[in-house]
Amino acid sequence: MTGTTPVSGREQSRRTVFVKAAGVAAVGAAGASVLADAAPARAAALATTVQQGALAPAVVSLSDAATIAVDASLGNDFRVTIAGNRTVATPSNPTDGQKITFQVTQGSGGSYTLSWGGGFEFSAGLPQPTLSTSAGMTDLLGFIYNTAKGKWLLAAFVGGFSSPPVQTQPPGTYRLFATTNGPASPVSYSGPFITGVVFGVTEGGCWLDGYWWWVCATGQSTSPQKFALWQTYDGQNGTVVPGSVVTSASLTAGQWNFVPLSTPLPLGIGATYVASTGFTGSFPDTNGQYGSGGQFSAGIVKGPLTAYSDATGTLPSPFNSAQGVFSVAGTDPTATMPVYGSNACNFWMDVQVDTKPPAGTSYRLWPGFPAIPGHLDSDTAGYTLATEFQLSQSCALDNIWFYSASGATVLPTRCAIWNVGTQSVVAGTDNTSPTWSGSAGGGWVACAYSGVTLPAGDYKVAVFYGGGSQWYQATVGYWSTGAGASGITAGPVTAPGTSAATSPGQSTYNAGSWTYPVSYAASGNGENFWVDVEVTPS
Amino acid sequence: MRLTKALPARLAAAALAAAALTGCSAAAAGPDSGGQLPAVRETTAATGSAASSAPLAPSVTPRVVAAVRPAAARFYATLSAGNYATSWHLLAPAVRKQIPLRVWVRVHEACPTATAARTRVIKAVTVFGNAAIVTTVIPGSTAKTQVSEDVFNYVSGQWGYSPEDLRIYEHGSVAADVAAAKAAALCAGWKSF
Repeated sequence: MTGTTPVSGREQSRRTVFVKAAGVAAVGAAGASVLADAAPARAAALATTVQQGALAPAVVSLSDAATIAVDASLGNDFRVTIAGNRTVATPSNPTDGQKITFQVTQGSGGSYTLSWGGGFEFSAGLPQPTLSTSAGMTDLLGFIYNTAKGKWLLAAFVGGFSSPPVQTQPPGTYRLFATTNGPASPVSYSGPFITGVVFGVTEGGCWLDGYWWWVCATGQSTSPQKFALWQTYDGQNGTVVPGSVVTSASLTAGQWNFVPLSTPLPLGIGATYVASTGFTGSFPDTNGQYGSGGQFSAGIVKGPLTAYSDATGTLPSPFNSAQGVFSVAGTDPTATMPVYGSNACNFWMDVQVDTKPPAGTSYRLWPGFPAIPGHLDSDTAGYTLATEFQLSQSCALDNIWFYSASGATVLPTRCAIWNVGTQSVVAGTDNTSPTWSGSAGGGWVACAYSGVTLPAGDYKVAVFYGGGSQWYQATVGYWSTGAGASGITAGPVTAPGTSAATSPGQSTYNAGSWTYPVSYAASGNGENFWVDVEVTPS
Repeated sequence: MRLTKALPARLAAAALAAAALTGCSAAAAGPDSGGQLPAVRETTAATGSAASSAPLAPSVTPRVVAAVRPAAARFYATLSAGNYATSWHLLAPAVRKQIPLRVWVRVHEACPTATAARTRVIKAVTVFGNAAIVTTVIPGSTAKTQVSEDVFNYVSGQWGYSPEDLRIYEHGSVAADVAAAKAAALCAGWKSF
């Protein structure tokens, strides 16, 4: 449509036509937008206002819920991805003649159906339509509000738009949004932004392959950006997991972008992670998805990968922290761990977790877990502390690991592998003056081994300290009700939970001397002393 | 074995910004600040103003969105005036639970920022969910105009400031908190904390 000249100020309010955007929305007097007819310009000339340039209505992302609320005063273009059979409530705050459209996308697991509130009316000529039946497909419905009837009248329906292709990941890998795309447009913003998603893994033997990041079709930076993985020990503070930092190449708009790590990173069961990225400018956001009543109010569970819900949902993180999270402290995701939440917004950060081990990898029970939640035990007594583990095949012993909590001033003075069947030390493993890889109080420390092969069998990895100073950290209930209750399996290594462990249970200790550990702290209820073993299959 | 084991750390308080929304549409004003406050000049956002397309929490109505600027201006004004007790009341509720009034006041008295008695200009407000990022500039004598972003959360019918790093206030003593703030270059710096 070409432009026409306004002729009457009195008539200007009756109709608006846009030179470059015939048929798009114009802002009505009431603030909501009213679609302009694409009628012939000549016929409209006497009642037409010409405005140069384009004007687009606000795109309103609706929150997916059993009943989808719509406020017609917020815009004309409403979009939603449905993850179940839904009802669209009658839009509130209508304006006579207002035209609105719905773009309804079938979510993962679709086909889903829509029911319509009593304020919608369909006709014999255009009855209530049947939506597309495949996940990712989008249907477009247009309604006009008629005040005299008090109804939204269905004026148009076009079905079967295909969404941007969803990138697929290899078999045996898991991600949060494998079949769901992010929003078409971002939240307009011009400052620094770091965002993240809080997640964990529920099995041993998981690796982080890399990060997925949604870039909206327009309005969002495609410049390279940095990604990092934090492990948080209290929900507000954390440690960047070594080996987790990567900078992307230039990103592609309108799709998910995969940013792989150069080497898959082993993840620890029970650790709480925050996958984060930083950049400048606008960001994708869908409101309320991780909170009560939201699509992901119960978190997202994909195999061993679990994204927690917001604190207001039913699967919050162990620290009851927000999901998703953001920061405005800068753009470097290794400098600041995002902790702010905003009504359980989904910022469309994703990770790819793999259960297929990289070639030649070693295995341990708690990799990628640099900061164990909790603190140094006040106990200064001496013990042999042990974790029972089983090998399904012959393995080379690489390291015995021990977690030296902050504040500890001493390290174990002896370490070894015990054979459970014979209750004797495995030959070649008894180190009476271990050289640890780090200092006391510095977190995980390792004592290296070489040339020792452990046949398949049942073992205890043990450390000893004679007493006098605080030296260990214990987590009550870890093996009975905590993350280790069902045991931990990482490749050929399995540490049984208390119920499956050799009597008297997992894990065991011996007070005062270096002896096969057979005592079980019942009041600790399967407490974990954080003694670990690392092996490589022979 | 002595069995007084520590439970895994679990913060009793939810993350500061995760607090559930309980209030609704009215944007309640904060406590009366009292006294004379330096002028806080607001401008129309040049960039990144509250985007009408930004997804908002149901309770964040247009009126609530409009309330961000005055709430932020009020907070900045109290800080600039050195009226720290009043500014504490303008923090988000979850933050007030974690930072006692006495600690907040004494830390800021010992560690005023460079914005004390300076005019802070609100350049942009970006609202999404129940959070707002307020972008400000501090025109001044320095060659480079200082730009800063702060987060406010809408909880219980009120916008409240949410500091980025609460660890500053968790050292167990004001002296240690102040030392940490100095070490982080927050004292005499430009960013709110």
